[in-house]
Amino acid sequence: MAITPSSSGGMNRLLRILGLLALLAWTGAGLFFWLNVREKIVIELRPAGEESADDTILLLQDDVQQVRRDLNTLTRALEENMSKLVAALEEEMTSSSDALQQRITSLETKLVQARNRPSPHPETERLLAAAEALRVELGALREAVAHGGWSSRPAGAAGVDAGPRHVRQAVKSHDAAVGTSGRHPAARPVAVKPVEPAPDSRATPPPSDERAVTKRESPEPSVDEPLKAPVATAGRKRGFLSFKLPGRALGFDALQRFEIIPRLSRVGYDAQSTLHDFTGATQAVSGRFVLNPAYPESEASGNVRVHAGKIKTGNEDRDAGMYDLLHTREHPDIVFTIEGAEDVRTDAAARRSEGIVRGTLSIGGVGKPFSIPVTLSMDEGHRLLIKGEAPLKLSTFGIEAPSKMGFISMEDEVKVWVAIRARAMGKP
Amino acid sequence: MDWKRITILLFLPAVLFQSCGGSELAPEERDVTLDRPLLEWRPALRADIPGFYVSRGIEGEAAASVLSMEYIFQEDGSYTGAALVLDENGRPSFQTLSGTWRLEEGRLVLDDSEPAEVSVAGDHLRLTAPTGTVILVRGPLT
Repeated sequence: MAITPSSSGGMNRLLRILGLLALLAWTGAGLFFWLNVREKIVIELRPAGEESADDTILLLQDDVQQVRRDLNTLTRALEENMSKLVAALEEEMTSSSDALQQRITSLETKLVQARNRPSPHPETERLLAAAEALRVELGALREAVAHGGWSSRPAGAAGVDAGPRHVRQAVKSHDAAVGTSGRHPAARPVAVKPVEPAPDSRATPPPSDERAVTKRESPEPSVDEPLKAPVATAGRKRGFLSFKLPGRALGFDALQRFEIIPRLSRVGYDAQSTLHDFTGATQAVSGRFVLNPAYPESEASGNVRVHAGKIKTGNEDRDAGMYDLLHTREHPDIVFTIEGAEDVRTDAAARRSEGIVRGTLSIGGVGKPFSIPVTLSMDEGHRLLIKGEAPLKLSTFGIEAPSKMGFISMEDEVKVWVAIRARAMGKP
Repeated sequence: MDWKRITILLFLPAVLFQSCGGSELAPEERDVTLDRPLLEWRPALRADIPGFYVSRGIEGEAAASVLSMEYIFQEDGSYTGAALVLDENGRPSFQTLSGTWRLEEGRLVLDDSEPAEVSVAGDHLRLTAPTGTVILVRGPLT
């Protein structure tokens, strides 16, 4: 197509108009953007290398916000981890508790079988004690679960620290008490105090035997305390009113030497006669013996001596006649030689045991076997208190019951009793 | 009436008079009661302390080791004491010591030992420490 001058002039005008429109559009767009951003832009002129205080604050604020975000992230992560840890520990607790329960149940079954045998195995008492120890430990475990608080805390550091440590100790001590290869030194006889079974007991129902193991409602750490009681420790302490005392408090469960304290002891007998009853008693008692108060059947030896010439009945004539019958000049002392103990029941938590002490009683030079049921306990002065009584026939020892004029006579059988306090003197 | 019955009738009153008086001891009375005087105790003042004392009874853990104690508390705050103490093997030995005593908030402090609650009743002084209680009775220092 050919371009003519008239068409060329039109083209020029069109180009001018387009150029003007483009200029107007560009300028309008610039004004539009300027109006939109001019209030958001602050231009400040300052020497190079300097920062304003506002910038520093902004930077710090930004840093703080970043740290805060990081902390939140860490907190969430910690909470998740601690929750997992607590859940794992709870699971471990549950499994340990179940395992312990199974072991106790098994042990109880064996004990019942052992008791039902015609002649109980001597190991029965030790198994019984081990079962009781298991019960105590199980109670501690359950207590930790129920009241430890750490399982319900939201990842509290104190709770997590306290709970598992306590649990680990309980499990550890329990494992030590049970042992995996049979008898353990700790599996010696422990307190066996019959108590009512807990309502939620999962153990085998206790047998009818009153000495059988029964379930404790709550852990009784005191049962274990006597076993841990130090006995005649070598260390000395700055103690009572500035004097240095040896650490020799009486441990109830330990083999020890004892010495009778005469001023705190009394022995005697109750007698019946035709007219009235009377008592002969004296504090002239002495002696030394060796035993473990908690388990005297394990070893018991020694003697108790009573100065027969010091026994008083409250009637001098009667006393004189008694001394003649007892041959106090030739045999001034009545001596009981301890040879052993049997049928012992121990409540170590109460530091008390009961049993029958047997030996040889020598009266007026005549020795005969003699047994006396006694209770052993500790008094407030940490002394061993021995109480007991038993019937005794005078004729057994060749003593004729005295009588007056043939019609006022004394019964042949008297009741001998003891109320003795003895001081622990250390290991044998 | 034969001679035996006559004898009984003649001598029975005398025999009864001589032998009556049942003296059976009740089981709860067999145990020797600890020498614990029934006294009305009150907190001790400083003026109550000085004097010479001998132990009358010791209880608590200390009783396992201490057989007897004696103290002399002086007005000037000094004291000396002796105790018969059993060692680990049960052998008795005397311990003596001297030092200073003071009363702090009603508690007796001997040197650096554990404070003891102190109360007084007449001539008796009772010191109760965590490891035991001793009842002392004031005596003449001859």
